[in-house]
Amino acid sequence: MTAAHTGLAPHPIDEPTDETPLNLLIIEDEALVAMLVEDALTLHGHRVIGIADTVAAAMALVDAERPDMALCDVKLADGDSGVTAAQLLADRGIPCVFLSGNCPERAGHPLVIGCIAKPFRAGSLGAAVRAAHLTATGKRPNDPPPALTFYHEER
Amino acid sequence: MPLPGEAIETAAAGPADGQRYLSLVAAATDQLMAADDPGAMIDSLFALIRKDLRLDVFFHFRRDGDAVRLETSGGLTPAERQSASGLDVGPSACGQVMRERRTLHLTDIQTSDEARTGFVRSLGVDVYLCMPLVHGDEVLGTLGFGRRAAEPFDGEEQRLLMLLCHYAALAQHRLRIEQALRRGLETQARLLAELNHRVRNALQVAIGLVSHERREARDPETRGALMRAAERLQVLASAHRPLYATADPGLVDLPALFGDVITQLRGDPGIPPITVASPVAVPIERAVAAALLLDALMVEGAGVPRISFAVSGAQGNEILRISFEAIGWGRIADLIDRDRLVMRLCHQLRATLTNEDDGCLILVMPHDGGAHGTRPASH
Repeated sequence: MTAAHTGLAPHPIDEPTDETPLNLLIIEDEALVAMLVEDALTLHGHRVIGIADTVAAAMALVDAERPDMALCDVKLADGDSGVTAAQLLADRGIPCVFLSGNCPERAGHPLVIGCIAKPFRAGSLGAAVRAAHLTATGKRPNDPPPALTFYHEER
Repeated sequence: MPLPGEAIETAAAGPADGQRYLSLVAAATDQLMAADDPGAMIDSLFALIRKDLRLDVFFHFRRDGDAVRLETSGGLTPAERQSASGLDVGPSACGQVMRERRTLHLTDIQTSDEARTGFVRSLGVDVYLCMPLVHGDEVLGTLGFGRRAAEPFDGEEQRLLMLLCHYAALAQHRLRIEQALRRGLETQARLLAELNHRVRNALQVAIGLVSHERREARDPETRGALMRAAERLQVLASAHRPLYATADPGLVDLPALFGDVITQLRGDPGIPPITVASPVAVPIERAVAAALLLDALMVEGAGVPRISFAVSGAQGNEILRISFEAIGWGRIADLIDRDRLVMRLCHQLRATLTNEDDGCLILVMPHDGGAHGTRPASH
């Protein structure tokens, strides 16, 4: 059923709807996990702009193409910290979600939205990313998946 | 009454006594430092000094959390020892020493009616020296020495006993630390064994599930894909297996892992032809990635290659070169461009694939001789 059918006002053209594909950045140092996340997100209709495994690589990708959101592991290659990467991205206005077997207790930034615990179900990743992005844009997701833990950091 | 560290009356002991006491201190120190049991340590100390210091009884009370219990004693009959074990230490001289952390030298006990000396009086003791066993800010317990003869401990004797008491406290502290370390190591070993079991079990279950799906699948292409998935899970399990058996947790013997992977993939229990100039241990994350890369290469390469490992470069900037020699192996160097898994694994390993000729594939990647091992496991 479309907005016209329900009589609701349609979304402005430039405002993303709940179904708009997102441009996502994956920050993950394990090749297999990165591929799994990329496949799951692509399957859910999103676009992966790149996979970074260090803070520097993530920043380079962000400079080249600004993503709508980033999914970030906590421990990265070369001893880099995913927490640092998330902070730097959030400082640039890019929302982040951790993807980790050991979720940090605190976000440290309002745009660090939450954490998806590993091991995760590839099928639930799309809903978790969507819910996190809605939260980042100030909306309230209807039915966020339990795999996603929100930080609720004050803005 | 002297406090620990306080000046004690001038010694009346002569040079001969001084020499004898020095010998006692040396012998007692040897015993205390070599001891491996707190109770036996004090027993042997008493046996050593009993005759020279004319001691009739001794008590060692040990603090155990909020409770105080008799750890060991000497010169008592079984019935007296039984009474001492049930003694309410709080109101006694030992209780006072523990509370006030100071030495008590009590004399003329047989003619006094003080409640705090009631128990030692019942043993016929007339002179009692009780000292706190202190380490840092913590009172570990007390050591008490009694004489039935009315001969107070002179200054030199008190100094000697206080010195021995200090050594005993140090030795007890050392034993406690050793015990805590042993407990920690035992816990670590138990946890490691549990982790080993759980990881292997979980991987085995995963292999079983994928294998089951493969058997059930009708489409040959699907069966082939599921078989590859099961094989890759087996490679993961192989990488984890040696991890728990190493003295350096987190590092895996890469040549041995390669041998294991080849043996499993080819079902040949013979030793694969692998040459290693020096041991090559890598962190588990890199070992898993390298093993999966080998697995991917084995699918493309015909036959089992001869594999050589060589590490070169300065420490901290070492390069690991792995060559695979067999007919056609040189031709699969382009896998890095056409196989997504190989490309991502090479990226993770910061590795390059090149060839020398059709029969030789070269894999080069950074290797820091195990310094990566200090890096925590990836999540």
